[in-house]
Amino acid sequence: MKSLLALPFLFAALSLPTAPAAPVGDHDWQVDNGHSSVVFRVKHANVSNFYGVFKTISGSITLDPAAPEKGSVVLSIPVDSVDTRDGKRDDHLKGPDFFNSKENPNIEFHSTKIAKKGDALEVTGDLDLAGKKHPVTMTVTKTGEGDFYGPRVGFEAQFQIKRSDFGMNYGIAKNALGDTVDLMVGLELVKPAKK
Amino acid sequence: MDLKPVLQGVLPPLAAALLLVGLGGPRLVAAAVALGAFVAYVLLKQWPALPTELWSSPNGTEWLLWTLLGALLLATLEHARVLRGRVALGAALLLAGLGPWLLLMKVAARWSLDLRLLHLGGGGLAAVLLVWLWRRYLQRATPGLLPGVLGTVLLSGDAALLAGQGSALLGQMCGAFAAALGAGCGTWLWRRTFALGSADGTWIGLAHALFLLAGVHLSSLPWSFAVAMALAPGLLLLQPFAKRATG
Repeated sequence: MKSLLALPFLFAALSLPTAPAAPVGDHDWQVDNGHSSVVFRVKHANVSNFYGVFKTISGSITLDPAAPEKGSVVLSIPVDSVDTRDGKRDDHLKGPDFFNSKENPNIEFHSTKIAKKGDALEVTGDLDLAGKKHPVTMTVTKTGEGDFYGPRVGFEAQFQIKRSDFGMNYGIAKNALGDTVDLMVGLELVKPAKK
Repeated sequence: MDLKPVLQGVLPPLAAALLLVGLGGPRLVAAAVALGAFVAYVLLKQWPALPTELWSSPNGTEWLLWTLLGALLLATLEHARVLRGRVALGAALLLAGLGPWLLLMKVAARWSLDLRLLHLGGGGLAAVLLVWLWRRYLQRATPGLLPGVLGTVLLSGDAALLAGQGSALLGQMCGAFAAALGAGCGTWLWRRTFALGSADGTWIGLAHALFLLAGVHLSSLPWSFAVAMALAPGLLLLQPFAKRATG
């Protein structure tokens, strides 16, 4: 029976780590975190719109203006960068009631389809949030382009999600926080540094 | 204050315990806790993914639920004498050692080997010791209401700590365990008898260990609070050993 005491260490040694990979290609852009923003809005107590931000976003975007349907968008937002101007509330948001950041440290978006919609783009993809993947579609508009220490291009998207789709139903029952969350993403893209 | 979430977490375990323990006696307390806690989780959060699905897409909170349901099943089988003696003890300690590994499967994937050995090995060892200690205590304690009341107080303390330190869901889940055990004890009022068996030490010890580990690793429960809470019942559990040594 004493040998059972060694089992926890055996289980510990058996768990294996995983590693992600990053894409590279022509028409590549990368997110300039310093000039990009992710803002979310949710109704509080059915009274007011409450705003918060994620302070960090990274990602790579491949976009050929002549053939946007061949492009791809990959974005990653560290949950720990959430900021609602209240440390205790941020900790609650990071916990199992909401994002469960220790298990799901990043919010990820991987596009599955990009289509032209007038002057804008309609980007569909899988949003991986709090350990659940759900398809979302957003209309992305170009906000400008220019040269500032290298070529830059800007895009903006606004879309809604239902947090209950991602298993985040804390506070919905008592209307403390709405189920619908509006997301506003402003991206400034720069050319990735050549190696 | 809207009481709906509180009632969703508390009413199912209360109803299950009053019904099952009230009709079948304390040997059904583990089955009542399992039923009540499962319904509470579904009402509070969602229908949990099956363990087969959790292998490929781990979720610590749902592994916590299934692991504890496993402990409650073991206890029920032991009460029904399907499992006995060393087999029952071995199965209980095996599940206790495995519990932290299941609970932290996803988080631990990003840890170094050192951290995995420390947290999974150490956590597993703590869970094994707490289960062993609770089983031994219940085996030797004078049959009566006191061990059930102590278990209820302990799990209520865990629930309050978890709810106050970052996770309402973990607090409510743990509260569901405490509510069911407390309601089971309450059946003493008309049954005039209530005694936990050593089998119940499996789920009480494991719930105490795993909820505190979940609080630390999945939420923001400070280590110092978790360790102090984990050690707290040790003082109470020494009582029958001390009695035995002096007697």
